[in-house]
Amino acid sequence: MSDFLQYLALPITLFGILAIQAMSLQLILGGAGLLSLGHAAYFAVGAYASGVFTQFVAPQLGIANPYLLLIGGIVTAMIAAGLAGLAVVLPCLRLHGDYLAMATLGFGEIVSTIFQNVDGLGGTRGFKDVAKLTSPLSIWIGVGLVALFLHRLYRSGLGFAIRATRDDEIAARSIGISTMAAKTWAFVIGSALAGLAGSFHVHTLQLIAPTEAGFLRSVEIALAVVMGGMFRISGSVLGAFILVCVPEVLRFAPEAVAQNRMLIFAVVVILLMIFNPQGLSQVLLRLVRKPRQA
Amino acid sequence: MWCRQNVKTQPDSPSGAAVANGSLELTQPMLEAKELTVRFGGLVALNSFSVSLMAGELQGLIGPNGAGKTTVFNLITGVYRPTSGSISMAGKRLDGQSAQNIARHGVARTFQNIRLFGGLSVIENLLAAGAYRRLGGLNGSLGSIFGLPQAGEKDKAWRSSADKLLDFVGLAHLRDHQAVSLPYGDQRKLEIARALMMQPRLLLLDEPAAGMNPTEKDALAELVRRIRASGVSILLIEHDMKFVMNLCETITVLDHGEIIARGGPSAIQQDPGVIEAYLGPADLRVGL
Repeated sequence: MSDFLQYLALPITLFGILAIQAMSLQLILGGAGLLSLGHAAYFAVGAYASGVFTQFVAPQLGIANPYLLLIGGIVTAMIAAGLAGLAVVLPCLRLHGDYLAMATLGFGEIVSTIFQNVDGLGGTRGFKDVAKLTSPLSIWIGVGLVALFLHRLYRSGLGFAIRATRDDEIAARSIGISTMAAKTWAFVIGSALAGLAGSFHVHTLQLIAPTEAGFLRSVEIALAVVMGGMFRISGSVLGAFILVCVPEVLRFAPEAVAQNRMLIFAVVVILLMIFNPQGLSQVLLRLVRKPRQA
Repeated sequence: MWCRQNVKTQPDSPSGAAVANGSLELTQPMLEAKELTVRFGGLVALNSFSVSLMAGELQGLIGPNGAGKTTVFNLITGVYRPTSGSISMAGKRLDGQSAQNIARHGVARTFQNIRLFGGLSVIENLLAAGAYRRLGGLNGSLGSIFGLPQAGEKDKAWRSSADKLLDFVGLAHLRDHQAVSLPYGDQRKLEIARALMMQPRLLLLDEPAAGMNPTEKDALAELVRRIRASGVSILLIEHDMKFVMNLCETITVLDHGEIIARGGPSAIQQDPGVIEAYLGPADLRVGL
């Protein structure tokens, strides 16, 4: 039993980290309607920044308390990732749809290449042996706080400005909303939250590799957002759950299934998108609401 | 209620009272557009257009399709920049400013092809229209996200003014529906409510009665009168002649980007230039 619990800790932790990543992208993709395909870059920037803080900066400042270390790492990560997001969004604000996607995708690859070439941070082998500071509990407290923050953000003036800009920019300007400011804030806040996930990641796995900033990871995050339902915060958590947990559950299926679990998983994802493009949270919502209507 | 604090208002008083209130600022027009011209490449969409609107005045803008009516609205609200000419509101220059700044000066509008926020509910469409003021330089937003008490008070006022407005236009029962799921006429009303949420001094209505049945049109005319009675200046584009003639004392007629007539309803109806613009030259009107 305790073996099983120990085995469970990793998927639960990874699920939590991906949930934060997905929620941070949800604000940009579903909230502001900006197609960003380089979201893993801010995650990686946050992870590296957090690692640098706890390994190099904190010892100089004499900080040894693990809680202070984690908090310091998180703050550093969020600031660094937020600034990285600002650096991308300011020149790209006038780009729409596919063009913005290409620009952000390029940024992800640039970040990946830069970290590969910084030897002081491990180069291509990645930044290793970072202190382990998190537990599944602290990560899930983080998930809860991010969800609560986004929930309240969407109900604030800024949240309405962001969503109105997504739906109709001309109408948004006609009611006094600065669409440029709304998009910038959405992008920067989303990037900073991705940095938070990066901080959790590096202090859990004790490793961040440059490939984590690349295209594949960005697509995985986007997949979690879209599959769960991109207009709901809960959708991102649900999407992360499917991406992390379904392949794990399939391990315990009969051997024929277990051996081909990644293949089966891919087919499940495709079917889901064909038959329910609004995402899985919509399916659940319908199931919950049906009894009431009857 | 939803009107600007600095304009004295008596929402329950008969419409005549609005004129008396408006007279406080009669020295200066609310909106003054002078010699507006806009060219798109070689095409002159609007040539030397001028209009002047007093506080609490309701004027109509009519003309055949493609005459340049919506272009006038797009110039006033900053969607387009005029090639030449000036626009000022209560003495303040508006031309050259960004659309959102013009809106913040108290110019609100509706759109000919309804532009609601489809992903938002009815009430959220109104809340969005108060959003920029609620932002308070972001401090306000941070306050409401983290639940600071001061922000809570302001949030309450913001939400209750949205609810009052829904009552005012008669959409309170549809409060939590998706905006795009509303019937056409209700979507138009919601757009007007969203514009009013801006607490405008000047309201630009672009074909508000389009697609409405006669009963809905009567209700809309009543709504427009009530808005005007609260001291808001209104410029109205409309194709329904009965609707315009009943509401406006002054009507401007545009054709091919030029003003061809301006005056009261009866004068406009008898103007030979206007009749020609709508029905064609007299010698071709056999059987009409």
